[in-house]
Amino acid sequence: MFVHLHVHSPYSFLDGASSLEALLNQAAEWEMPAVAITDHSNVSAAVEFHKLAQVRGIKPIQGAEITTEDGTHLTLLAENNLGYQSLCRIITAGFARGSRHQCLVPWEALQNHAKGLIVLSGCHRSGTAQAILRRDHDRAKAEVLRLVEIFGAGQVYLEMVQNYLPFSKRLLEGIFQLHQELRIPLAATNNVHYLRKEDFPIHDLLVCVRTQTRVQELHPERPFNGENYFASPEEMKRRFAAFPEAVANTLEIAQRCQPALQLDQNLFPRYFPEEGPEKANQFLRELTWQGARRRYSSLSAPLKERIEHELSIIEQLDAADYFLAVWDLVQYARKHNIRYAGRGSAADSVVVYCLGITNVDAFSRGLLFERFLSLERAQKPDIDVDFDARYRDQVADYVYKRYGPEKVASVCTFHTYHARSALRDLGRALGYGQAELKRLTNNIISVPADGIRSLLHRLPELKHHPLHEKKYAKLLDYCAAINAFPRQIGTHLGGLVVSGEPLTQVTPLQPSAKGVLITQFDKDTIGDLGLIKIDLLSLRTLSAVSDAVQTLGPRLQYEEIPLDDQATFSRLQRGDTVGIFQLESPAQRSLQSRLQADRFEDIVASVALIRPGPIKGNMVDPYIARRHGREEITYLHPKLEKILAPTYGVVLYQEQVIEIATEIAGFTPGEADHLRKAMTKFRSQAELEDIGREFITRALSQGIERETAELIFSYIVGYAGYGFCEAHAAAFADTAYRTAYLLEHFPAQFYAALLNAQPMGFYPPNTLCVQARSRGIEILPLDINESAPEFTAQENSIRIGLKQVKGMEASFLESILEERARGKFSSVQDFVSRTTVSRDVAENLVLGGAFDRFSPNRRALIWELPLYYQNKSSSLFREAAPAHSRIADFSPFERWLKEYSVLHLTAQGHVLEFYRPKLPRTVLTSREAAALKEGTVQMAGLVIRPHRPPTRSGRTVVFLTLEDEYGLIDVTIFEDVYKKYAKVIYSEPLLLVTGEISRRDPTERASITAAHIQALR
Amino acid sequence: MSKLVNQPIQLQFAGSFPAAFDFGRRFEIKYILNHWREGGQWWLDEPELFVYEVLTNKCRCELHFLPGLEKWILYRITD
Repeated sequence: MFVHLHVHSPYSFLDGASSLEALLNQAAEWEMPAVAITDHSNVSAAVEFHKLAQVRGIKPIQGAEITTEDGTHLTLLAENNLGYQSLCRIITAGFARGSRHQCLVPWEALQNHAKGLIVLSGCHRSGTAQAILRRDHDRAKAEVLRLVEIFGAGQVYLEMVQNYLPFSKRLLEGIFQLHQELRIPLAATNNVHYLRKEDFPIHDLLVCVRTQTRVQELHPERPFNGENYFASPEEMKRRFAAFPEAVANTLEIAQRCQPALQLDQNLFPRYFPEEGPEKANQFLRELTWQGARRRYSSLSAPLKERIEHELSIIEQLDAADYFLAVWDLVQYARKHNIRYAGRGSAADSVVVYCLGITNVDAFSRGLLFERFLSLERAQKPDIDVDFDARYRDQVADYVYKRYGPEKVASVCTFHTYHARSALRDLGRALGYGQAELKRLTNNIISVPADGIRSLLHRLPELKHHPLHEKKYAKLLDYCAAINAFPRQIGTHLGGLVVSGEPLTQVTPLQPSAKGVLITQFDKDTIGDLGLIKIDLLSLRTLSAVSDAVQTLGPRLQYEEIPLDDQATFSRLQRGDTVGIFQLESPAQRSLQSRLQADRFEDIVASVALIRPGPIKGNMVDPYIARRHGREEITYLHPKLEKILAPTYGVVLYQEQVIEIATEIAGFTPGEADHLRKAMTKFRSQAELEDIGREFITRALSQGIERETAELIFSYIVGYAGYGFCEAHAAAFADTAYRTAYLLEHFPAQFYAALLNAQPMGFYPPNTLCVQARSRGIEILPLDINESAPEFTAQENSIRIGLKQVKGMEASFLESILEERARGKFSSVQDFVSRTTVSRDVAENLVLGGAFDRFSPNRRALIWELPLYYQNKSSSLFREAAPAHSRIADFSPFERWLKEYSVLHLTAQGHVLEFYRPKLPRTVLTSREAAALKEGTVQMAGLVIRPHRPPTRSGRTVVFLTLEDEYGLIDVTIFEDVYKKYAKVIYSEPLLLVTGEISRRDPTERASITAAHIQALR
Repeated sequence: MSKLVNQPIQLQFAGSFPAAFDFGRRFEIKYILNHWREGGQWWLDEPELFVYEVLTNKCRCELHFLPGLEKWILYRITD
């Protein structure tokens, strides 16, 4: 028997061309007792590998191929958990010595962390091999003896790779000679980079991507032949027929190594490090009851019972420290006036509410704690908190300081291949030029890399796409082969892990682009190692809220906003919601006008309703009909009434499924949540039927009739996969309502704040300006003497800020503000002479209108700028008078376009104003169209966000918004029309649409169902 | 001096070892000096190639074997 001890998975990042599953399936088929994964400088595959190997009855050997500080390779294998820890520390030291892109392990680190490791002398890039190939036998011997000295005599094996390279013969002979002289045992490997020989082109292509070469070009790192595959034991015996010991020793090494990962430990730090868990439990109790007294006017018996229930589960799961840690960091945010809002299923907890982490009263809402945490699932708690995006890093810094840098790290994320990235990377490697690549990726949306062919046949606008050509067939095959392979490691947006022990005990740490250290495990695997993630998320909406609140000062008490403001609800009822958190998309604007929200609960339901699931599941229309009493509310069983009454008999929230399983089938809440999860993730019809049998059996034992039980099960199965967590919806609804209030009562300040927080939300900044104008707010132009860095609001106006100018760097801005503080600018020449702003950005300032106060002729100023810059650099001409140009200014349309190009918005009105005089009178404005009840209309506008959300029918429907000088109107394009005009829809900025006015309810905002579409030029 | 030949040959074997070939004259293989495998320009559908450097009774030769085609080529002759 033979065991592969040097295998690269896709986590070798562009150096492994077969998935872990594929490799392990083959190993299982050959009954290989163990396999080692030895990726380059990382153990990112470790958890996945451990689990996949164990279910196949294969012993997982954790390892890595490292690069030493002198650039040579070594293959390290963890004999046990101690060895795995050594590996983590060695790799961490390598990244500390090298750089973000290069892990170069110092020999000293190997000396310090050699315990529990078996070392193979390495591939042809090892120090030993390099010396042999240089015919420096003494050096080769010294390299091996150094390994023996560091790792110990029994821990070192001489690695033999027979991959038929021109130098293989010499190398094998040299290794064998060392073996005879030093009595160091041999170990055969195949330095595996892919499963089968025919996968070699995929590997070669990935190496080309990594080395930025094309297949036609040479590069020393490109593989010479296709021999590094996962060869069968028989093949390996054939290759090493002259060295049978080398093959036999692989089995010996495999027997010595034990599965090295310790999963499911709890490494979260104790809040009181010197004390046992009781102290944390006690402190959490104190804080919770204090918070309860603050949050509730009186503590009723059921409330007390609920809090006790939650605390008891938290204690049994040994999770008090986690709750305290999150409480601690929101205390920090509070103290430093950093706006935050807890979200997610944590809002199902009354304890979390009492700790001030979330703003959702789980008790009054009757939310189920078990959706968040239960003994049955015994999962680790996961509390997500949104912070004002500007200060999220400040909060993260606090966590680093609080727990110590060696115990905190950001969670990594893996950027994986999907259709576009695969086409781009592999196309480039195959030698396609930029123009061709652009053609090939044009209109290819975000789908898996193995879904390109089906996409080409599915989307009408791709009917004549170049990828249909036969010559690209192989490219599509190669793309499919690398689907979901990790391309590079990155930083998770918000996840931090905090550990009681140094993190390098379980994960190597490496620097990220941002400079922070990241783990080598992502959010899906980090928990298995015993680490708990705290999500510190950035939410720009909170930045906008803070900005507006600060501008308004004492005029607004944000926390005291009344939750029953009629003007705010009227705004929602009109669907005038652009800028409101979570409620601004076309689907939400339509829903708001149909739902006629008049209470907070309607907003909670709105957040949950406009999701792919409820839309696909046809829940929106019945919900609205029942909400307005147009459809009878019925229940399959009287017990369901209590659960479903708040949502008019419709299953809308995940919490309701848990309650149904509890009430109808007698599940405990924890079991019921387990069932809910299982139903959303079932892998086969048989698995679903098993779940159904259990539900029905238990329902029967509760006295429910079989037919009813079956019906109820089918009801909640239909729901599976699209339900939404009520607690999360309520947390979002709170912010949604408050932003609606701001938009209604303080539009100038809130629009300015939204503009300052860009990019965010559904609409581009220019749309926000159009909306602001439609509410009578003047957008004041950029002005070099008046504009602040940010957008600034007065009562009825918003001044464009200097930061909005394309290319405006912090240093330029600083220079402008410093000089302006000394005295306002008197001319463009004066500006150029006093600031350090580059000529390009000065040009952008001209085009943006910043100097209109000195001369309205922007084209003339552009021509004069070079002279001013010349004067600045040459003292000889410093006193030269400004040029007086006779150049005519840009046309109004050119001015508009240029201003838009440098500001992404304009103070000059809308582009449609230039087209309007040329349009026939039959072309209506958005305002005129919106006033119509029915009929055929023609409307022109700027296309905003065409998109194809999932639909109930499964057919393709495109939604887009047309924007003109008066506002927005939504357009629905059904499949037949879409097929005819797909190319125009996705390539033209301005459209002329003819269609029927459509309203599903009398109150619904008018939209147009398109019949004919053409480009407006 | 070496000469590029690149012509097909019929290789004779002794057991599983290459023994001799005729190319104008008879070349008897004494030793296999080295051998390796090349992936070829797979993107041009070029097949994989096995390369053998052999010492014959006349000179050193580089033989190529195309496993997909079961074809032997005398690629180069070196004095």
